[in-house]
Amino acid sequence: MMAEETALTLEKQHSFRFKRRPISLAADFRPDWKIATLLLILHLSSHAGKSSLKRLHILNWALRSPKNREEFEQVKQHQQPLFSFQFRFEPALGRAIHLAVGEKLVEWVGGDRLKITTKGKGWITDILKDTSVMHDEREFLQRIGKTITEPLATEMITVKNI
Amino acid sequence: MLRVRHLLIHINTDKGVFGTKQDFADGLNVVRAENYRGKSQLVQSIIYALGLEGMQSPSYAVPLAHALTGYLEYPENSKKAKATVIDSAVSMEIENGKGQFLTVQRAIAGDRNRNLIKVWEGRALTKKEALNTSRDYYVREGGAATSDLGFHRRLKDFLGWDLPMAPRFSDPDCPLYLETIFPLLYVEQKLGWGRLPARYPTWLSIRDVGRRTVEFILGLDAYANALERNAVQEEIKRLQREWTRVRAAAEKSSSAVIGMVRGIPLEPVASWPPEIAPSLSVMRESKWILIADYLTGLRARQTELQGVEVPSTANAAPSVRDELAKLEEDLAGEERTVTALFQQFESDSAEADSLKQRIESISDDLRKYKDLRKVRKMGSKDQPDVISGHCPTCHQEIADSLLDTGNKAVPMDVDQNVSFYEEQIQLFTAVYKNAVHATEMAEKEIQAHRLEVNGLRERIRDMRETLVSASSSPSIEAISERIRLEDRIIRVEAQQQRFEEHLAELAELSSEWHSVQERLKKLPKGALSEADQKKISDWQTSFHNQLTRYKMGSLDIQEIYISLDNYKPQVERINLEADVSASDLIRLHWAYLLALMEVGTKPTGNHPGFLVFDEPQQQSVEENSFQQMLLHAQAQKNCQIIVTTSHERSSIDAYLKKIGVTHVAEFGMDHILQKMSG
Repeated sequence: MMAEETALTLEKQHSFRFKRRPISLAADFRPDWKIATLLLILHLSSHAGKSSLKRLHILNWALRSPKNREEFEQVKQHQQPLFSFQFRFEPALGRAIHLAVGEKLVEWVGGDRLKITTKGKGWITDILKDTSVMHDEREFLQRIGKTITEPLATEMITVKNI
Repeated sequence: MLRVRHLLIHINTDKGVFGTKQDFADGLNVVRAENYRGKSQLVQSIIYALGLEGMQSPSYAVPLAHALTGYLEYPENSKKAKATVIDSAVSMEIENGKGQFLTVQRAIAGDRNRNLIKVWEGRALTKKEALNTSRDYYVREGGAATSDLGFHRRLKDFLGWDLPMAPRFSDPDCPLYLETIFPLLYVEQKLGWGRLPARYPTWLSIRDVGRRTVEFILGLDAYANALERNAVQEEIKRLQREWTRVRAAAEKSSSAVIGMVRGIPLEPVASWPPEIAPSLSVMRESKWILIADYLTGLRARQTELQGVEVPSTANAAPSVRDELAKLEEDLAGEERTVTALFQQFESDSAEADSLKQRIESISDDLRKYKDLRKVRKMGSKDQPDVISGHCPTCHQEIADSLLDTGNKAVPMDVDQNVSFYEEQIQLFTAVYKNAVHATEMAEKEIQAHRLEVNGLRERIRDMRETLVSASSSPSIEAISERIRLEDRIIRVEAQQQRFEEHLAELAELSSEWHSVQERLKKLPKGALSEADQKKISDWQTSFHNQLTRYKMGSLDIQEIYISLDNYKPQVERINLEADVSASDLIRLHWAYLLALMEVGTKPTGNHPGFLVFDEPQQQSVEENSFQQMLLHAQAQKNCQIIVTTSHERSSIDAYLKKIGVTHVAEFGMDHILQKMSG
């Protein structure tokens, strides 16, 4: 009798509650990570810190994982045909660019080129001071340097579209 | 034990010889003079004479004033005159606990090499002893602490010190240099009082220098224990390595007979053999059997055959025909088994591969997160605001994510994600190891079955040959069975013997493991043994008593304790150096070093019973506290304490007389460095 009563009271007073558990997210989907890689591409691998959107998408995809980096470099060194590097337009990069523009880390110039700002340079320079941070990424970008030109980027996209 | 008995500073100038002679006795010695009279030079030259100025800085410059190195001013006919130093040197007689004396002499200015210390094995200054024993030792150069001609090696032997080795930051271990010990024995006036408990030299890059020196001075077991703990850990690592090596060797050699080793523990064990005895099995007719049983079977068959003549083909033919049919069936069965096992193996390795990829990709992501965490911690001024969860344009809240998850799911924060990934890696690694193990087992089984297949094929071939050969010739099948049998017995025996050898090695390692475990057990749980804790608590008691008498005011004295980790005075949740008043810092300093001497001079300690306070009345500590310190110092036994002061003459003279201090060098208004001859 007692036990039953207790159970009933409990039911009356407390409704069920659900707690939302946070979900795991790949680091690539963190705004500051994506923004930092964007700045890194503009800073290390773009002429005058400036790049077209399509070129950014290519380098973003190339940078994303060890496997992508390797595939990209093989294509670049003509060991594999151009189309064997299958890159994707990552929507997350688009969002990151919007945020970065809002943060005034990058700006649009001439309508179709994204350029790193002084503030952006300030942040990425601070990050680069710790040589262990983003080590793989910066090593890759330093290795390919500024050799991915806009025409080459266009070629890659066109081949892809055939 | 160390006592400075006599000090002589000798300066040749163009105006004659200047200098001073001082005797020092046991107990408290007080040197009183007005400011700028050379008190600090006097005590500093003790340190210089012992080649210990490296305790203050790595500089090779002479740490003494111009009066000893360049020029000195002196009164002549009630006017100031100036004399230029030609050369100068400091000589000193020291005594150790055995009543032995050394005289040391080191050049200050002049042509003589300042890195050489001339040493006489006796009282060369006051008694003209051992005048023909002089020998040069060097200081401030590599090897000064270790080489036979190094002065610090000589000094430590003289003091009867057995210096422990100390780990350094990057270089190999070195002896605990004397320069690191003397900051606990000599407090220099200008900078010495500023750092509690002592101003240790950092340029020698000795790790945990504050701990190592206190442990040495007090003769704590902690140091020996730390060494022992290190040695034990090294030994444990070595045994684990060896064990893994022998275990792998045993497994590798088993592959020669396509055998399988079971029961060798992954990690070393202290009792051997383990409850499930290690065994080597081989596959016979789809079953794993112990190699010993297999060998017995082979030998039995050999004996059986030895008693039978080799049959002729005609006689053997009927039974051979029957057996051939059976073996062909067996062969087909074995081949099917191999195919099935191979499929299993393929799928297992595919699983292992995909797990490996998964682990690699998580690891890469984990690395990114760790980088990201660092970036966020940097807190650059140009860092974007999105991290704080606000849109830079409209300032509304946004999630820490670039995925359009809406409100449905909240992403983990970076730390959560890091630990989530770490867990995942752990989990997947365990599963991966399992999968790899499964593939290895499958591979072995396949090999074993293939061997079986080969054996069957050989026998089938022999039987067929037998059936087609001349009927009077001996049965080929019967002969080759005998040959094969003999050959196999030899190989299997060799294999078994090798396995036994490996087991013997493991037994040896196991007993070593046992003894290292015993050593590990003997080590005290914490860093400190009971005797150590007693010493520290004695030290702390004296420290507290003194602080009470010195009227320490800015903190509750009972709350200050001597940390068992680094032996520094500490108060919970308070940065002592920042929180106490400057004068209390001086009181702490006195009490700390005097109490250290009190405990360290007991039989198991290494404190030489020597302490120099250069102008201890810093930061306007009240006269009363200062007097209490002198009183405490005067009461100390088995020691020599040298205190310099410029405290007002009349009051201190009276006080010293009252407490019975007899060794007072009073210079009044005079310079300590005086003209000794024309």
